[in-house]
Amino acid sequence: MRDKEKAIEIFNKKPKYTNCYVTYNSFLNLIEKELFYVTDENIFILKSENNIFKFLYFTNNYDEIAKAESFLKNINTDVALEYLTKENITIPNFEKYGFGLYKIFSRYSVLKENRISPKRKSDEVQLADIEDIYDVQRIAQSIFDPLCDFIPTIKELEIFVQNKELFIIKKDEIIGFALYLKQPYGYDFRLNCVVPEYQSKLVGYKFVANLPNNGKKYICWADDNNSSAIRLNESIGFKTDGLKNYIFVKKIKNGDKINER
Amino acid sequence: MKDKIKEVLENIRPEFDFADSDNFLEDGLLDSFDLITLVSSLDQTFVISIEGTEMTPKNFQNIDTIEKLVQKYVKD
Repeated sequence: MRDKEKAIEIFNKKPKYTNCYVTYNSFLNLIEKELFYVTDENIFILKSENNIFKFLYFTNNYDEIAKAESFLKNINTDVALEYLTKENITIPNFEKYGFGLYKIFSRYSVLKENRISPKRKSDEVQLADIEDIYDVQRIAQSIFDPLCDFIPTIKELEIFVQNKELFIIKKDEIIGFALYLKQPYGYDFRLNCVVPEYQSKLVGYKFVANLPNNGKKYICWADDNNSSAIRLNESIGFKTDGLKNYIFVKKIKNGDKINER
Repeated sequence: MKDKIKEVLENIRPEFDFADSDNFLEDGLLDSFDLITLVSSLDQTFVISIEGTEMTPKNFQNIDTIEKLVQKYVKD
């Protein structure tokens, strides 16, 4: 209890540096559910996701991240650290703490009036049924990288199907899927995945062409090294909006398993 | 004060017209990353220190709610 109170006290003072962009209530949920460590005026959180951990920090001085070493030393999976920025500034030296730069993602957005609508929608794109979610997850797990991609759980996929947000293309079996998450402002084009045998066959384009028309604004993210995804996004009017996500990874050597709460 | 707040918002997202919206988060004018930047900018502009517990969506819905929040600290 005392650690939680201390964490709330530190959050309240708004430490200068953080990679955890949450409202107060979301912060309370985080420290309720996830592993966290409070030391001096720092909060370090390990958020469990995709069978790895994401390292979140609140600190007034980046040198203080060295104090997270004892917190991290017994973790036996890789740990990802995400650093969001809109500015061309010097990225903090996370390498000092064992985190190496892994990937850089850029956010793209387009307003409805600027979207380039494709001449024809594809009739191959269909809403996923509940029976499809196991194949979708299997494909996601085989293609996506847990250190930087969103890999939905079965429970999440059930909800996406109920909300009519998950779309598939089938040829005997599922060859691709896409996730358009409804947001108050429009849509978050969260995932677009095609099995290797069907890549470069315009399957990804068919999903993009079938984006719902009724959103005010559309958002997606793409790996700066994924030129196909970038070309696809730009083909329907998406442009970078300046926000970048630098993903650092700490490869953990084998150690004792941490005791989960 | 409203003009200053509008200026802060426009510095963060110059592509949007904040006068047109009653709910910045719902309308997609601001996201959670922008919210953190906004709080920091408001602190600097008005020489205040907004508490973390005040970082709730309802306090940042529109210029009126932001003004009400800032006034609380300026008065104090």
